[in-house]
Amino acid sequence: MRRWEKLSKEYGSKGLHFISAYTQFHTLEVVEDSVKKLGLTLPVAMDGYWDTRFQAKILCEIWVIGVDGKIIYADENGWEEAALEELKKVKYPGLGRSAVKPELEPAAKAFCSGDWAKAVQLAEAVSEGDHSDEVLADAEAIMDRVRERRKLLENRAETAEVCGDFALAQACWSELAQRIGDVVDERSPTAEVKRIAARKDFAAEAKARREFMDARLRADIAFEAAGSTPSKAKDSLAQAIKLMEDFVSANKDRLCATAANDLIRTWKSWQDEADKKDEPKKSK
Amino acid sequence: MTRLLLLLLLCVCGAMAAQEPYTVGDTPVDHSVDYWLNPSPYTQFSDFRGDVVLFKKWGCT
Repeated sequence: MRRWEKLSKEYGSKGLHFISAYTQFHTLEVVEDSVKKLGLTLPVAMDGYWDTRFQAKILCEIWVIGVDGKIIYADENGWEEAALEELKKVKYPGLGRSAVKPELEPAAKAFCSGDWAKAVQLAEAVSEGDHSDEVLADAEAIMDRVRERRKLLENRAETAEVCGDFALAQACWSELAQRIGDVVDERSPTAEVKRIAARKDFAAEAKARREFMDARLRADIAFEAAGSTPSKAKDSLAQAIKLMEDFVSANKDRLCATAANDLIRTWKSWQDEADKKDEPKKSK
Repeated sequence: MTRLLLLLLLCVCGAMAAQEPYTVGDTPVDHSVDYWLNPSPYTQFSDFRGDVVLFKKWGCT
């Protein structure tokens, strides 16, 4: 992971991006300590990638996803060379296209340097001039890209806030504040960051989200430790339900209590099924 | 009980057997993640179309 941090610093602004998923059975505290010791600043998914087609033969496996969105390499070795070779195709990081007409070069460069407001300004100036249809189409494409990014970040921020993920909501608004700043007749990203920070439930929701994730991980650890022994599997299920019930009882008013109750219901239905299977044996 | 074990196994390991692993040439879909360490505004593969993405599965050991 340290190599990733180095590569991110060197190539992050050139269009190389890093996502990782932690997929071992450890408590959240263990993972957080590990991330801290490694000095890792890149995003680490704690869920969402267990039940996927990313199937690692061993840890750590790396997949390289190329400019067209397809996997171009998958292995524990050789990924760096493959990624850096693919990176040569990226001329305008983040813009989602590999070429623009020379008239739009300054606008494209402004976008890639993170100054979206300037990119729009430059593209608008070109679009108002007397140019070919191809040039005008490129100008429109750059302005569309900024509009699309703004919409994506606003939607993501709103969804995150509704789910109680205030850190992500703030990250999205901060990104917008940095890239485009305040625009007349649009929501102010700077004001949104401040509004979220001032929420009375900010700290409580963050704490609850962390505790919920930890309870889920502890339940997974119990399931994994139970292995295939039927009595142990049943015990692990009871243990998981207890973990989640304790969480809900301490976090009744928090947003993630709903998801925790859903898990409890699912696990209890498994328990009922197991009990039903056991009944005929008992009556014999 | 067999069903319970199967369900637990699915919970822990995922429904791997039901899905073909990604190989070179496949286009990975976006995934919903509830909890991130170091949250970033961009965490979906589709966010990076036109750029290059490294995705890694890792652990402490």
